[in-house]
Amino acid sequence: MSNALPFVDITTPVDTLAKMVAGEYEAVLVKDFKRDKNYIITRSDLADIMIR
Amino acid sequence: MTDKDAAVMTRELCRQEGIWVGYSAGSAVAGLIQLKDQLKKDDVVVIIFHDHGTRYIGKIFNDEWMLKMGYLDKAGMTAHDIVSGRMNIDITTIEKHETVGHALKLMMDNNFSQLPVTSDGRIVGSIFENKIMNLLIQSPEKRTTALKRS
Repeated sequence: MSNALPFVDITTPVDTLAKMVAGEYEAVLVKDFKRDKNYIITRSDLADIMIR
Repeated sequence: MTDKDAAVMTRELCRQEGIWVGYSAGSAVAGLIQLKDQLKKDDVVVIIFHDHGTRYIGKIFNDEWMLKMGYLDKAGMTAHDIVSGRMNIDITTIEKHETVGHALKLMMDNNFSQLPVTSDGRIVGSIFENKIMNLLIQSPEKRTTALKRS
């Protein structure tokens, strides 16, 4: 088992997410405090955005 | 005013005001904002929203369409834009007492390459498909080992 993926706020800009998953992390966890829900954004999700 | 101005404002009306209206309503508000310097403090402006957003689910309210049209700047996108299509889907996790084999099956069945690991529902770690595969290639007997010991 590896360390937990880092949490980011749901308002985090895509550019910041891209830098995170392009480097140390394969994915990040997204926290939506208003809805009290968690999501995951993977390197693949970011790649889909960046190639458009 | 451009089509992009109207489309972006239509989404903002929904996001910020909770008003789910159509393209021309967004256009009307975007136009009003552009004219705001010509209005005096006591002026009253009435905008009639004559259609609704259901007709634009596949367009203005579709991130892919907005990106294709060049209406959605990547620079302005946030994590919310990426997860907006799965807001009602709970994230898949696995408890740390589950086995390595079960974790790999869960990932294969769902085409996941990583999973958050929880302890009593709280995220305490993560597992990755490639690392699990390497572990089982080297030590197949660890298939029945709990994740917390892997």
